[in-house]
Amino acid sequence: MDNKQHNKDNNLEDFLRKSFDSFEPNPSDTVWDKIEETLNVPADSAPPRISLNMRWLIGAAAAMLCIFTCQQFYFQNQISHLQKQVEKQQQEIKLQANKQNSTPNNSEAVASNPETTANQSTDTPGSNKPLPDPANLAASSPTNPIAQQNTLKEERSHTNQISHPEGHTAHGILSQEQLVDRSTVIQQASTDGEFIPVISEDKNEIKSMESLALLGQPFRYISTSESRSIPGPTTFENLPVAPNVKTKNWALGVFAMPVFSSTKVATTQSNAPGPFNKPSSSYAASGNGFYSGVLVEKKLPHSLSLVSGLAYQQQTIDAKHTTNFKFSDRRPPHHGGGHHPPHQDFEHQFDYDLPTNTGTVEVQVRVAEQDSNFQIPDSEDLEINTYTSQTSKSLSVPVLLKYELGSKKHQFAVKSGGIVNFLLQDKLELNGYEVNNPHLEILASDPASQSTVSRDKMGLDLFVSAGWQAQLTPQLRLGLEPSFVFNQSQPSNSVNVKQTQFGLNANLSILF
Amino acid sequence: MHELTQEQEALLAHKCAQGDRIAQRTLYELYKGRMFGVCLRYANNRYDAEDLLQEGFVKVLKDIHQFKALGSLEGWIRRVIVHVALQYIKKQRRQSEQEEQFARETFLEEANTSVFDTDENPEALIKLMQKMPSGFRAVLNLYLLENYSHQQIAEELGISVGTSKSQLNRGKQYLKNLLEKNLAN
Repeated sequence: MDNKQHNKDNNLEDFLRKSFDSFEPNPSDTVWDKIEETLNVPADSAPPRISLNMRWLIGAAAAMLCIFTCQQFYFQNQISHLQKQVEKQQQEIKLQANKQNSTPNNSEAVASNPETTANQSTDTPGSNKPLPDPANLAASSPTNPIAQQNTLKEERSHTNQISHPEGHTAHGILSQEQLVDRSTVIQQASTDGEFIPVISEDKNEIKSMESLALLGQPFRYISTSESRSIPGPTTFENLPVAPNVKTKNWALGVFAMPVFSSTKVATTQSNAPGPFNKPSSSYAASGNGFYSGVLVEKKLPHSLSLVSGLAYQQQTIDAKHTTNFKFSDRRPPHHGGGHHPPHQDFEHQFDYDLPTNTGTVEVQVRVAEQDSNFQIPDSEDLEINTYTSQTSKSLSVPVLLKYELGSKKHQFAVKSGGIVNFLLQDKLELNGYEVNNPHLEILASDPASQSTVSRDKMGLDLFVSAGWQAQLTPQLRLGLEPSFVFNQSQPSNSVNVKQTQFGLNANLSILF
Repeated sequence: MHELTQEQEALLAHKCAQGDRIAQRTLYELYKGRMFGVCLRYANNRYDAEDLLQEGFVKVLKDIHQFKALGSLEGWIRRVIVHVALQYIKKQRRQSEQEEQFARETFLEEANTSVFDTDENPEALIKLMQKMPSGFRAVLNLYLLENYSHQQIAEELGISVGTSKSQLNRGKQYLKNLLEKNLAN
């Protein structure tokens, strides 16, 4: 009987061998073409993969470049506009001066300006003498002979008259643009030896000048240091009058910044010892959140400011973790005590360490074979997807350095520095699982258990922003600044987390 | 097919390793028929078999520098092709059990009408084998036609030796029943 069976087996083998021995079917002609095509692609021809962080950096650099270009274009237009205005005003001044010289009673025009009259009697080239008492100035006669003799001061008076929007003869109510124009005029006059600029840092003198303002508007001298910070010709520091916008040294503001985040988690010790598996895994996370808080800003020299404050930040990050296993990584499920029924032969458990940005989470997932008649080989590949949701709340203290440039109404501001975070709450939830294998299914009645290793309570973020600020009123400023926040942390020994956030910072500040 | 001497095989392999496209084409033309026959036995259909052949020859031509000329070139190429085919089988196993069941039923229905010609027409036999469950097909191919031992099959497929033996017996029984039924008819 056995021999008969053996013969049958041999017959089958012989039959198969004989059938296929000289079997040489022809594949289609396109196969070689495809092979050749594949061989023609060099191994290193694949485009270099750019990491997510690098993409963020490239994006940030491109945004910065774009903003700088726009800003440059804006200032170029402003400068060319101002140059045209200067030329126009120079012509007008010359015409006016010629007119005054040809008029016999020009002393009246000069006398109408008490400051001009007062200064004429004492100013000498290069002097910094204080101005006379306002009472004396008020008593000055329109027929003052000294005033009549100084046509340059008259020009100066006319300059102010031209510049003033309401046509009054008061000084010190020039806008900054007008001031720049005027400085050019003065520069030219000084070069010709016709004009003696007055410089003073004396507060009493400034006060006395302010009392002369006929329209009740503030009037003060510009200090040398202040004048340097205003764009314009280098002779601006010799200007005896200042812009009517006072320099604000402090700013107090509120801000809000919605952010979108991208997180990359890498395991640094894939074979670290421990009771749980540390299989290969990938992690894709995206999230959103916001920062809001108060900021205090202190002006420093050279257009710099120091910014600090207190902020509250909240973030939610949804992540999908894909962990790769072999079927041999399984183990029998725990009995689980009270409400867990005893496990069956077709039930299995996978234990693994899940690297997350809050630390390592030890997860146990139970699966069941879909068909117990099919024997799953130990080398069978399977993937378990774990979905997590992380919510964190922090208090943040930013320490930033700000650089700004631009006109008084619009500025371009760059901020950079660190944000110290104090973690208030960090909550990680495992939202769901799925197993990618046709022979296995998640045991829905057995939710995975977890234990979390918390990350450090304090962390440091790097912050960079570049954006636009607008002066709504002399005391109120609005800012809109695209911002990047980057941090790197190691919540546990084997997990390295890099997080990049992009947001739009909107802030409103009171200047004082 | 023209048989090459060992020196000719070594020379051909050497030229292929150097990237000589004519030599590579020659090697493909020499072995494409037999290797396509191997692929057909493992694949579910002709299209999959052509994909396997393409993937296999790409691997052969990329790894041919590893050929040491200790055995025959054909044997080495066949091992590479079989390896690629086994990867394919492993992927196939991830398909749902329902598909496997459907394949078995279809196999039984069609086997009754076509097994008569199998001794004269290997393509008909191939078509029947393609409809077998992939596990049976793989073990049957490896053991009966590639001369693998059960230990080797177990290692290649990631199953136990016992499973390999069991699947071989069930696969043989599967075929024998078909043949006997058809002989009786």
